[in-house]
Amino acid sequence: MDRDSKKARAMDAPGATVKTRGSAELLILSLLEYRARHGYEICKLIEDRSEGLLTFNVASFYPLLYRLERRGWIAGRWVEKAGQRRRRYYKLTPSGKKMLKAQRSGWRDFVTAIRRITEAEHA
Amino acid sequence: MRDWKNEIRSAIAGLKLMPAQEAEVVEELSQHLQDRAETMLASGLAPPRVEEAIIRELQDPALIAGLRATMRSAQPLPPLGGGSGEQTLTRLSMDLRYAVRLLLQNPGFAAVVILSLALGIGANTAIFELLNAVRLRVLPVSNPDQLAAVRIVQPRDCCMGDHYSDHPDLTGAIWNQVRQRQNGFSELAAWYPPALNLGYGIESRPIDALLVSGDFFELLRVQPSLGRLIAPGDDHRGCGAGSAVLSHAFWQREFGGDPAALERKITLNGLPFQIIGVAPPAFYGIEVGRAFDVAVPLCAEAVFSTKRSLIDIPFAWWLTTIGRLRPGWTIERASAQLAAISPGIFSATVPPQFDAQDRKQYRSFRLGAVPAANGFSTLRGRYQEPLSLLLGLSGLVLLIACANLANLMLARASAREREMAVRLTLGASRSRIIRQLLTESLLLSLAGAAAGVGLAEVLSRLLVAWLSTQRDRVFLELTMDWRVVAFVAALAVLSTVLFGLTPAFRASRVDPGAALKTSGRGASASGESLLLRRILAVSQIALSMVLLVTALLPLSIAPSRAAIFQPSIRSEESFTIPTTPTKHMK
Repeated sequence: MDRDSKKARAMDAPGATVKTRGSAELLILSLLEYRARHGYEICKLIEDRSEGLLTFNVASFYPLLYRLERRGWIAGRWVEKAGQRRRRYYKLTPSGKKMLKAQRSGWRDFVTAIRRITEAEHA
Repeated sequence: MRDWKNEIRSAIAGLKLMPAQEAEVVEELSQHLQDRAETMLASGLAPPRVEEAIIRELQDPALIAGLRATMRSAQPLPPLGGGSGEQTLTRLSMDLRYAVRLLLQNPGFAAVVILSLALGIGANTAIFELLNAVRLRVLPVSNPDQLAAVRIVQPRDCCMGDHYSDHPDLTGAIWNQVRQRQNGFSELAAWYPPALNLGYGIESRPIDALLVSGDFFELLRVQPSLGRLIAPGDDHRGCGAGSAVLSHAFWQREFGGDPAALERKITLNGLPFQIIGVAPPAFYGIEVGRAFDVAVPLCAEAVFSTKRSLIDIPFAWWLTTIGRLRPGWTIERASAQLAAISPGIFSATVPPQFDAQDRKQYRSFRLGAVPAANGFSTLRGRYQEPLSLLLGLSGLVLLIACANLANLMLARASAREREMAVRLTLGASRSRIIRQLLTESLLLSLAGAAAGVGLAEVLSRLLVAWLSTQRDRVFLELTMDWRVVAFVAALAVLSTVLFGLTPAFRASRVDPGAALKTSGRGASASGESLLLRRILAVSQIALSMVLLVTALLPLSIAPSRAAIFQPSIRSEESFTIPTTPTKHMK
């Protein structure tokens, strides 16, 4: 299945918007759990790891990224590396780590609940 | 490769972000879009399609809506001058906290500034406290503005005869006439401040006494703190050694504040007087610079006299008066009435010893009323000019200190150029920088003023002690009243402006780009800054020269003029009365 068709199916799926915002925050926080990354790298990783199912453009991604920074869950810092343009790297803050843990737990419960319901229907 | 910065800038222009914040957003989004364009081109998409896709992303209304929701509220402070009173207080509190932190980080600098200001403000405050006590403070009695004294106002240089005090306004005969004929005063009292001896023989020592007519305390609305005060019944001809009222300080000092003092007698010039009461603590008398120890009725003067009583000597000038104006009467109206009765009074009291010419001159005297709300004082005439001169000199000292501190602040501003550059780059306005620096200066001034007030308390008491001699004690009530507080506050604000304003303006004019480039190699003062510092140094030297010359002038020009600074050269000859009256025959 190619990326475009996967994306179309995902967006057409009923209830897809229910968890969109919360899950987007979870995705970003998860990708920053072990190392600092810049904005484009985060977007690209989401797109690649979801095999094109989830994508962000600048209009949807950066407001979300800045909101997370304003809440104090991530911290951005300009970093200059030799031979490269300076880039703004984001890393998880201690409160961001707590939030990631809480969101992961909530997401796990949500998925478990959905699975129980849907599996019960099929049982 | 296109960087899309112009497109991004125009897309987010509506947000009106602070310049530094907008620059960061533009740079970050530009890099993102460049990376994205490279990826799309690498996947084989045609350049026009890539450009179209990116433009479409930038034109997405979600971008500006999302950024507005995030960035607007992220602005930490409202613009200067547009906030409410609460915001102003919040910003002032932030400025003060920041200033305190900065000063704690530089304790040496803060200590030097505070000490310099403490010396300057302390010296000024100490001298102003003295001037205030001598010149400005009103008597500690109710409605002092209604008080006035009766004296001869024409001619100003009078009068022929013997003079027995610092304020010899009337003779006994004139006093009796005035009391009977005047209409302007509801109450009128006379007083005389001799120095009497307390105790017997060689153990006796001088005290400051006050002979007062019967309605003296009642007129001043003074209430006793113990027993009763002298009343009209105590003051009658032939009263002898009768009753005595102690001042509160004397009662504390000599009797330890014991109420049983009322049952005891006090020996004055070898004569026993019954203690009948104690004056309230706030009442030190009506003479500025001299506090009374014991008050006795005016009629007791006769028992201290070895020959004739002063009250019966027509050319003995020894009494001073104080009266309370009748309701509706003014000083001018009372003066007019006194002038009208003057010919009759002086005709009736002509000393028989006078020859024809002296009699004619005596009859031409005119009485008048003069304000007495500030009390009576010889210190006022004696020390007002020297104290004013000293205040001017100490003002110059403060000015020199401020010039010195301004120089110090300018040097510090040079060292803080990078900090100012960063703040300007982050969007701080010039007025914001100036306000912060002035807050630091104000904090230093307030700390210096507080330390200066403490120093002034010590200095002013030292000055009073320096003015006093063993025989002539000077008493001045040196409390902090509203005038002294206002004076100190004005000095603090003036100091802030003098040493803080120029460095603050100078620091806010720093070029952020140049300052940040040179910051790594160490800050160096600009030509303009060096010129300012030179001007300040020259001003300091010039002011120091003025100070030096002014200080040496009285000593170099005429030794007699220097005498105004020497408290020991004073003619106080009223140690005992009336055996050795001072004779000033004019």
